[in-house]
Amino acid sequence: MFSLTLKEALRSLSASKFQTFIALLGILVGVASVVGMFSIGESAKEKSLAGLKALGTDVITGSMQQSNTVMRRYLDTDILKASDVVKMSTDNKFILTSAPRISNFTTVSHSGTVSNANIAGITDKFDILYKQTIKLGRRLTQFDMEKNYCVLGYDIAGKLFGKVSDKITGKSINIKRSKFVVVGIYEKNKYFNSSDNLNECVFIPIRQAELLFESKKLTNFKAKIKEGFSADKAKVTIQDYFVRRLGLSVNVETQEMLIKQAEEQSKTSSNVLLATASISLIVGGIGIMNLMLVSVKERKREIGIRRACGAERSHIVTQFLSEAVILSTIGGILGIILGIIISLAISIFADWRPIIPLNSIVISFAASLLIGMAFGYMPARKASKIEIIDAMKME
Amino acid sequence: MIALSGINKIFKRPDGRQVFGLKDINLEIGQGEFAAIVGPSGSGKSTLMNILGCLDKPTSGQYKIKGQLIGDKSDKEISAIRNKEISFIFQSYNLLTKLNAIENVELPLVYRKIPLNTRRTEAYRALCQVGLQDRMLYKPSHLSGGQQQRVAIARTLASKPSVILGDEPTGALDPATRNEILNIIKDLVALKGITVVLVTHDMDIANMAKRVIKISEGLIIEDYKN
Ligand SMILES: Nc1ncnc2c1ncn2[C@@H]1O[C@H](COP(=O)(O)OP(=O)(O)OP(=O)(O)O)[C@@H](O)[C@H]1O
Ligand SMILES: [Mg+2]
Repeated sequence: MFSLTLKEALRSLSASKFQTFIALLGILVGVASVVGMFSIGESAKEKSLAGLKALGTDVITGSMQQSNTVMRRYLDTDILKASDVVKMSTDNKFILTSAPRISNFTTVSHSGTVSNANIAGITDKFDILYKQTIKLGRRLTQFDMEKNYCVLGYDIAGKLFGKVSDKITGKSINIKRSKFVVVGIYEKNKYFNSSDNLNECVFIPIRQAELLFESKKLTNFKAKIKEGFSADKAKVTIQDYFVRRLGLSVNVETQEMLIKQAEEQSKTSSNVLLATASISLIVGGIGIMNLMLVSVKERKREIGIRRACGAERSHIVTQFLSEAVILSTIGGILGIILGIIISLAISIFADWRPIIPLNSIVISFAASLLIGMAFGYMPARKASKIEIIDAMKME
Repeated sequence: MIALSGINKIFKRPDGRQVFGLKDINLEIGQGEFAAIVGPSGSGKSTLMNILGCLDKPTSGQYKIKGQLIGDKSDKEISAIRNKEISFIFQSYNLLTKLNAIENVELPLVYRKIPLNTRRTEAYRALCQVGLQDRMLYKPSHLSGGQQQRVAIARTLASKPSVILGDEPTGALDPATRNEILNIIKDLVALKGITVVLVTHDMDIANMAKRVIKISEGLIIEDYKN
């Protein structure tokens, strides 16, 4: 009985392939986005968490609280400067090293190739704290601080020079109106972080950045704390230190907090994505309901003949319900396949490990099944309620 | 076998007027009888047949098949009667267009939950009886009117009912095919113990019948044995 229902359902669905396909699209897109979004979310999370974890839990990050910095940008006394951070790290014995950084977007160019880049003013401690390694040439040392030297992030080097090669070192680029000699190129940082992509940065001595942007305002700093010293205690101590010494409220965060934040963020964004996908699944359900309603109307005569041959109302319900479920399941399976393809394609593009969580497949498969049942029930019931006499009259 | 008492059928017209389809029909047809129902167009023959076939319900009155009162039964029970006790042959064949000949013949057996192999065999045998075994994989659209009606009759044969109801089974056929079907109907009627009721305008069929019931304006006006 079941295999017959299945066979007949498939037969009547294939009778109007185009309409069937159109009705499937909603489910297909909905399921593909559930699978795709889950996968992208997981991969992105893994990558950004890996980046944060790679820096180690013995690192704290500090930045000026936003409200202060915007208003008092040009008042030298009210901003956090590189020199303050250096002093902080000598005043607090539990700080091993610290790396202040100034970040600003501006245009850089090299013989006609112009690009917008993040200019990062750094010190010689940057490499240690950010775990950056040199691919070509050399890094910026303490002796370079007064010089117009720069190190390029891997991607920006490619953008400016076409491709990364040892011919780049020694060439000069223009940042705003100043010339900088490229002394090195960093290895590609494989941890992707859309808000702070080090591969897109041009690194210059922090002193030069202060001059270039006519401000000593730090964007942030990272500091490494002594082994065994609690990161949470360091956070509180450093915050107090800046308030006491400079009257600045500096926001200090531990790596652990940043990791937690990143996890929270990916959770909320995946909830938003899930809500969007649910809407397209519901739209898909309505598409199926519509197709089934049309089908019931067109097949009134068939219903009448079946009933005359002894079909119960429940048989008619089963028949149309299984058609709806088969339809939505086909949509679901195609959607899962499409979602996996999209995830794989994006993983190549975004250079991360593709993760396709099994539960996203199970959930979306179950969802498409349920939607078929929920939205197929009304048309199926309607079909079973048709009076035989009325159904047979249809020509 | 079949017993109607005080059957009325009232139709509501779209304009709200009520019209009598059937008026106080009292009729008994015994097992093994072969009856023809005749009468002018619009007299209520099809209305009566639909009630006999449990395709429609009377407005009032009692209908019994094998002593069982139909009015009290659930959809499930009435469906079982349509499935096992009664088989309808229509003027317009009423085959499922998406199924081929043998699948159409099988249909009542499907709802009887008979396993595939058994019902295929029965359906094939029935198709042989109407001489269509070499057309068993044809869809109705590839069969002539006479052949389609033969498939419909094979469907009736395969379902082995106690009552066969035919509403102008030869009505849509040309004279030559009509004769073919007529011969098959003769075989049907000869089946042991089977009750056959045919609505017909065809005097040959009416003359074949052992009993003729004349209807006019929803009333039985004559009921005689040939
Ligand atoms: N669903 C309906 N609604 C309203 N009136 C109906 C309906 N069905 C049948 N009738 C009316 O009932 C009467 C009997 O119809 P019926 O179909 O039984 O006639 P018939 O004897 O089979 O005619 P014919 O020989 O043309 O087939 C007709 O006047 C018809 O108009
Ligand atoms: Mg009629």
